[in-house]
Amino acid sequence: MQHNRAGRKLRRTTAHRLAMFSNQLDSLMNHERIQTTLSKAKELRPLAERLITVAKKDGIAARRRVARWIPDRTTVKRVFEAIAPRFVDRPGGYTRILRLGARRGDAAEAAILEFVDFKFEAKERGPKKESLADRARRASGGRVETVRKDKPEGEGEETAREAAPKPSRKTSGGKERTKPAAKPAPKKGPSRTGPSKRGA
Amino acid sequence: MPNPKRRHSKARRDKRRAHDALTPPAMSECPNCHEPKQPHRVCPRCGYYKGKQAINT
Ligand SMILES: [Zn+2]
Repeated sequence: MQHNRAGRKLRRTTAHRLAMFSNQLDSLMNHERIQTTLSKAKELRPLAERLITVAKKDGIAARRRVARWIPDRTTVKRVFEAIAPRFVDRPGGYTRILRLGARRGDAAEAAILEFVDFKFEAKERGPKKESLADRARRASGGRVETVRKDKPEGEGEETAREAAPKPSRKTSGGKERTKPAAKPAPKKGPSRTGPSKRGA
Repeated sequence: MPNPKRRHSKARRDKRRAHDALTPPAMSECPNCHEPKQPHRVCPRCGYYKGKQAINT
């Protein structure tokens, strides 16, 4: 039996949860439609509807009750002047939830919370913008090998290392061969910020 | 500390898993683009729901 345990915790502390609802209500009132998870949308919906109901009767007390959830004053103003008047004849049910299916990444059921009079306008899709790689491909008329930029720091290090043992190879002698190679290592040690992956 | 006395046989392991099968999600046909989609959800292909376009795809 699960009695007297309504509501989801959404894996947040009370303060975190309330702060999140506050943010989401602000977004909803400003954008008329928000995308979130189904669980959050279901929790948020009654809060949003209550705010609208309160805002249908304008007054200083009502404004303050709405401002408890929406700290932004211009948004509060918008709720009273742009949103609530649209619903004066509607006895509740100002919002709807659209299910979008499992979202990529965490497979959470995504959902849209929107006002019922929200008018969706499909974005006209222009031609796909040409990427830099496409442009290079078109200019050269064929495959383009992507050129990797070496980091200047790593490059300097690498050439210094290569250059050091070379002169020793020309001059014969077992002792000299090992010495120059060993010398640069302690010099570089302190200059590096992190622990070195190579050597020592 | 208590420890298992015997290793579980493959049969025992597999019998335990007999009820673990997943069921594929229910699918219905999108009335707009006739692609299969999950019921009660916005069509991921054409973005329609209840006869109206609801999202950009
Ligand atoms: Zn469709």
